[in-house]
Amino acid sequence: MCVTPRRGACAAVCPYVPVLLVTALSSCVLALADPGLPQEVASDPTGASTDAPAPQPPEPPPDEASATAEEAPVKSTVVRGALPARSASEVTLGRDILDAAPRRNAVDLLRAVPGLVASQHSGEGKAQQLFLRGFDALHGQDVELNVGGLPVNEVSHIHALGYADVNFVIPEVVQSLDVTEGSYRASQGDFAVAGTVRMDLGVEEPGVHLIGTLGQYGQRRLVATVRPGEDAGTFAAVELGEGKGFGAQRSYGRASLLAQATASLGGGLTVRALGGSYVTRFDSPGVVREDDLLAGRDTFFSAPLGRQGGSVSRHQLLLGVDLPRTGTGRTKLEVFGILSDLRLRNNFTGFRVDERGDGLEQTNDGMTLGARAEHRRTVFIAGRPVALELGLGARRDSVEQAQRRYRESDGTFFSDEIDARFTQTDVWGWTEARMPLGRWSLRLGGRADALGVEVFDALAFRDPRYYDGQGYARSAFGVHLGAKAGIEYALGDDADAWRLFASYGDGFRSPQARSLSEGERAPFVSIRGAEVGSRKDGEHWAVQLSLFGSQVDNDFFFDHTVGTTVYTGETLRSGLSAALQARPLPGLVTSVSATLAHAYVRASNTLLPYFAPLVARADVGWDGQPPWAWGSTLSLGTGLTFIGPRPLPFDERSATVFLADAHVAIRRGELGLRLEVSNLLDARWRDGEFVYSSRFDPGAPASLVPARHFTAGSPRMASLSLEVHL
Amino acid sequence: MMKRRHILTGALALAAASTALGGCGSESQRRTFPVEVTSTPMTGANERGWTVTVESAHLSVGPVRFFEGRALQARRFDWYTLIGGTAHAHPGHYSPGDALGELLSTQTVDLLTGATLGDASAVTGEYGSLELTLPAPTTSTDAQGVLSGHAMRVRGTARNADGGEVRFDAMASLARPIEGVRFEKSLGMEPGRVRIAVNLGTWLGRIDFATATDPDADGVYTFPADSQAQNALARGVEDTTAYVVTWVEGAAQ
Repeated sequence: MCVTPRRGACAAVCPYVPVLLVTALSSCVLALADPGLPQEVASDPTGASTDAPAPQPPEPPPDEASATAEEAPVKSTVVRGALPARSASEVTLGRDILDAAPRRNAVDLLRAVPGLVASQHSGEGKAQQLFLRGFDALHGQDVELNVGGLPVNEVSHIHALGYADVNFVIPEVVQSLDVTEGSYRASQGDFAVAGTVRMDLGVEEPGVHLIGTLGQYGQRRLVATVRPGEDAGTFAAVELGEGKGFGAQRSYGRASLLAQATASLGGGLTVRALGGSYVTRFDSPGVVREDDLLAGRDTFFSAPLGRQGGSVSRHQLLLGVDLPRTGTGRTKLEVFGILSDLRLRNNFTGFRVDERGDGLEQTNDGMTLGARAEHRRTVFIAGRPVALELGLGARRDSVEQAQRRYRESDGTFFSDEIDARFTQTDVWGWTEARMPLGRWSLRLGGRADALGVEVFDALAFRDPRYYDGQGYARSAFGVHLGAKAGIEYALGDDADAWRLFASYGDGFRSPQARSLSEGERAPFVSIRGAEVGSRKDGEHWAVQLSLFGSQVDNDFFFDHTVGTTVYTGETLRSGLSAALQARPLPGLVTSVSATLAHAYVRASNTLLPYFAPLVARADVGWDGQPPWAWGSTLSLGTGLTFIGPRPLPFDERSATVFLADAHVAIRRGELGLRLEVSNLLDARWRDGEFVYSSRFDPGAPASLVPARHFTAGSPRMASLSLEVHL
Repeated sequence: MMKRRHILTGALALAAASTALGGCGSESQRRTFPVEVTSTPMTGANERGWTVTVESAHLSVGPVRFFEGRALQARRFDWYTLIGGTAHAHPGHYSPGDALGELLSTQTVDLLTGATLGDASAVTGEYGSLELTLPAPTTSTDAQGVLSGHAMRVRGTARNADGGEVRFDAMASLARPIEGVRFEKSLGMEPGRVRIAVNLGTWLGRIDFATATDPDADGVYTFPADSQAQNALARGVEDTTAYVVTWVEGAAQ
């Protein structure tokens, strides 16, 4: 039931205007795009177009360059792909792996990342809560996310630092996930604490594809993709979806459009445009108290309080150009702009703080403008080739945000808590050099980020007992310097020989702008991370093993459910991750990973709460044409997720989660039929578990002792899709 | 081949060691403990010269909440202040801090026999104070009506040195819970229970029973509203020192 106040008709229509504009733009781009674009141009439409790009190969010596250009990089049986890794845990998940299991939304995509847990605890439209390498990254504060060169993390977001909402991504247009765990590369920027996940966009098959899906709980989804030529990176796609949800307060509706085009203008000049618009409205069920479930006062899928949910829109455009090569040098320039707004209503504590209700409405309207330049070339030092990478960039975010308390009875506001606007500017530069010395390779780099913040806090100093004024403006500035280094040793001369890696990197996270005081040197949270490991990237098999550790001087734990920040002092994390990708037989693909992590507060020698100590994932898919299928192509696949018990406050552990998703599809000519089932075993699993005090019955005495709460994970859900390939 | 195997084995051993070192458990743990309510009798005459024989005493009590914040206490005289030590204008404000335990049920207790309220849901930690809610009873919490709708009721006889004797029936209700009752305890997982002893001497210590002027047919006096006796009774019931909270070791959890 939708109980959130409706916007006016104009407001309801306005979010779609940019969708239409981008549709028109993308249509023009598609019309102009050369359908016969050579495949190697299409192979990397985004290139290194982000401040956190996928690792790039060093510029080969001139005599090797032509051979490299002739490689077929789009879809091959080479596991690692065309981009050699520079640390043990870098991984690329190709489209075949993504196709192995059902991928209906951003959560399904992120689950394929080794060691990453993505929790969708507040409805279909809110950013996922992420856990990686011992970090509880909340909604993105410790994981840098990037889609086709567009940054996703939002600075100083009112709901959570680094808020990264990837729900606008249409799974069908994600060509690969490039994952750089840790922060060992100079190109990794703000929020790359536990790692960076970059989604490269493209459509695998040329032509027009229509996918219509009907499923349980009112699932309805329509996806249309258009790829006009051979270039996988030139496409347009639109997604319309809605559903009633598997319980009360879980309905949603969304529309997303993504379009990208690359074109070679001659003379070695290549341009790329990526645009998109996204809008959603969703309900959120909130949390259920565990003791209410045990006492029968609530059911597993209850939604104790209404009015929760929100709406999101995001509009984005990236324009990039690859300049003509100059010798061994390649230069890329990009500009991007993002408009995003969020309106979110949450009440995690009921009537714990106020008899009228503890509901918070948060709004965050942001505009991001940015530019980056990257240059790669090979230089010679002491007669040895050195692959040099340089990056410069800037990003300016202007944000207006507000937080109000609303009355549970009628939804009206009774208290303004935040009314602020700020600009936050990050100017960065980084460099990284890699020198091969026989079987050894040395990598050295560094990164500097300067952060300037201007804040106007309209509600500051509004206590009439002490001040006769209200509102305060302030500004702050700070610089973060980070070092990156690595050593690599190949155990053989073959390309698929085992390689050993040792990596070091300083990562950082920018602060919440509103927390800064006048003239304060903006305090970055700095992370020192190191990793040793090995990997073998073969034609049909790839294996990775890494031992990682990180240290944070003055970490904090922000409980966003109740909005409190707890500084924990020095924290240490360590762990082990292993990953395997295999394509042993034609049509069979397997990706298996497991990550073991440990995180604790050094001073008290106690575990950090909520992190995921054990995460395992397996994606297994097969497609082929069995003789009994009359020429049809049959696809089978499954995705298995295991999340071990997570530590909670008071020596408690969350419940173990095991999920099995599966699909079976058959395609004959232009038509295909796909059956997908998520949570095949119908496990009653808790997507999120939290410990704090709450009071959901205003007529009962307030319970102040922290109690267990959970958000219910989805039950078994089946859907059937009809696919038309034209 | 052997070399590679050694490297792999070493990495695994290092990983296992790193994950095993440090960070076991959290700082607090959940636990429960019983909470019982009893009373300590009044000894001697009160500050108005009345000696009281209590015949019955009942109290509606609960929820009981335990907090980490310490209760404010009267500061002891410090000779250091005479030679220029730090002067304290006031002792500050009571801040309850985080809740560490709670017992949310309400029960009517016969203070002369005592009763166990139930088990408090709690966590380990540094306890500093508790909050007592003394609500007006309902028909379910006081089925026999011994409290006549009030939070507390004491019946007895007061005598003074002049030969005065007053049979009284005193009742009071509180608008707010009693905050800041002292209970300082570093509580781990050791067995035990919390005992709340109501000091009847403090409850009745300020009352001038001569101001009880409304006898009924049986000659039992009640305290008129706004009388000294009623006000003194209310101040006595509100007095945080009327509740002595102790941890009794050894009870089974």
